[in-house]
Amino acid sequence: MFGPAERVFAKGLYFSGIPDKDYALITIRFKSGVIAHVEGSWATPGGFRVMLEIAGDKGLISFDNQEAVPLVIGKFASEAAAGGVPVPSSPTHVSPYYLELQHFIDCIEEGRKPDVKPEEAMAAVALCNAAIESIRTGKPVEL
Amino acid sequence: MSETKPVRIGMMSFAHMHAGSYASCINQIPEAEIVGIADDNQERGQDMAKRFKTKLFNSYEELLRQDIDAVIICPENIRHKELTIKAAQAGKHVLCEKPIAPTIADGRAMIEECKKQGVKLMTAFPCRFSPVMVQARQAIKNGQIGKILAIKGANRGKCPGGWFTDLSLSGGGAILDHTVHIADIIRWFTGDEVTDAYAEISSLMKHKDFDDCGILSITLDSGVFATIDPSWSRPDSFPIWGDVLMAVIGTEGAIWIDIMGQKMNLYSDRTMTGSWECWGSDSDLLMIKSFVDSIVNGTSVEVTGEDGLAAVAVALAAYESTKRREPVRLSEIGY
Repeated sequence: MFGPAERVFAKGLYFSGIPDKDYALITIRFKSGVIAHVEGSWATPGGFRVMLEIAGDKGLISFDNQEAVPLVIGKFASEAAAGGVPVPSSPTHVSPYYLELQHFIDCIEEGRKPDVKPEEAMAAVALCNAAIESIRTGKPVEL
Repeated sequence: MSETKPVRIGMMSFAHMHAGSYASCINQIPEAEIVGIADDNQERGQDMAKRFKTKLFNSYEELLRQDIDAVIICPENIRHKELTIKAAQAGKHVLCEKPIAPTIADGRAMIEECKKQGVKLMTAFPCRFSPVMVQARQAIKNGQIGKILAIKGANRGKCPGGWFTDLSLSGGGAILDHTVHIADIIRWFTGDEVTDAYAEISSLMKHKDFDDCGILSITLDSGVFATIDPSWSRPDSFPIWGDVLMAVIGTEGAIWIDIMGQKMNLYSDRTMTGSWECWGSDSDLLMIKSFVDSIVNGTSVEVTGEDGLAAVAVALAAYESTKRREPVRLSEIGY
């Protein structure tokens, strides 16, 4: 969305030796000047959470999957193991996984290039590797 | 001082808008009263004297000659030192708006003069007095999330404009203005000191000559790491002035804090906007009460000048870091 990254700085638990937990806070400076802050966590209770915020000079977009909950099914204790457990969900007509597979099949059938290019996937991995390198050295990593 | 006599307070400058809140807090506390105000902007001084039903003095010197116990100092950041030293030399206790000073040297001079004159110096960090923060800290101290591993903090707001964006008066933009709140809470939660800071800082929001956005990565002497987002990145259309958000990651769990979380949504056709109306406890009031209590009881202030300076040092290291493009130790900037 913001073009190629220029520099990455990260702090994390990757080399801390703490079992079953990882947590990283990453700052990315893009060549366009945009600053991004990324939190990656396998260290917190409470289920899957995705939050996104884009702050622009004319407005702001924010999203939190735990706020985007159009359906909650609550059950009394008798039907659940311990206490009543409300189960939030966000149903969609077509699953994003289905859309992804459909797009891949369409690309094969129609000889098109996929929307997600392998070069972009490589760039994402390169960013992650740079973050790990920064965690290891304690210094920013230029890309 | 007899027990029945209220603490007599003078207000020095209303340049910072928090002064209005502090003044109205004093008027809500029976143990304190506003004796008068002084402001180098006479018109503003007159408005405030009328609003808070008190007297306007012609100069800071005249205000300080009155029978007052303490002052609250809220001018532009670069004037904190001058007014604090004046007040200390007149023997008045000081509550100074944050950031305590735009430079380490100014902050040190303020701390030393207050010590020399035997007056209290408190830094205005209201977040510490939020019952949300107090309970979070209690949970941390009780070991509810085990050992702290990492902290993510944010204090984003709308661009305040005015002198805040004039670096010759503020000494720094968003990074100085907002970093100090989160840096202080991190020190207070952990009991650790910040050792270094890395930062990416820019002027991407308003495209002017002041910093208005950035991300800081800091390390504590315990090895805990943290990030701080102090950006003025809320658009003018945002439903509230800003936020204070924190995530504290521990070995046994995590704590998430949204200091504005106690809110109601208001949609008004009179203003054609939606807004978030906070109904949580007034942290400013609790902070002013604490300052007044420390004077009444002769006890230490809950947030010291040293606390204020430690938080400023984090912001100053961040500015240096963004120039050097590497982490900067706080000792390298003279702290």
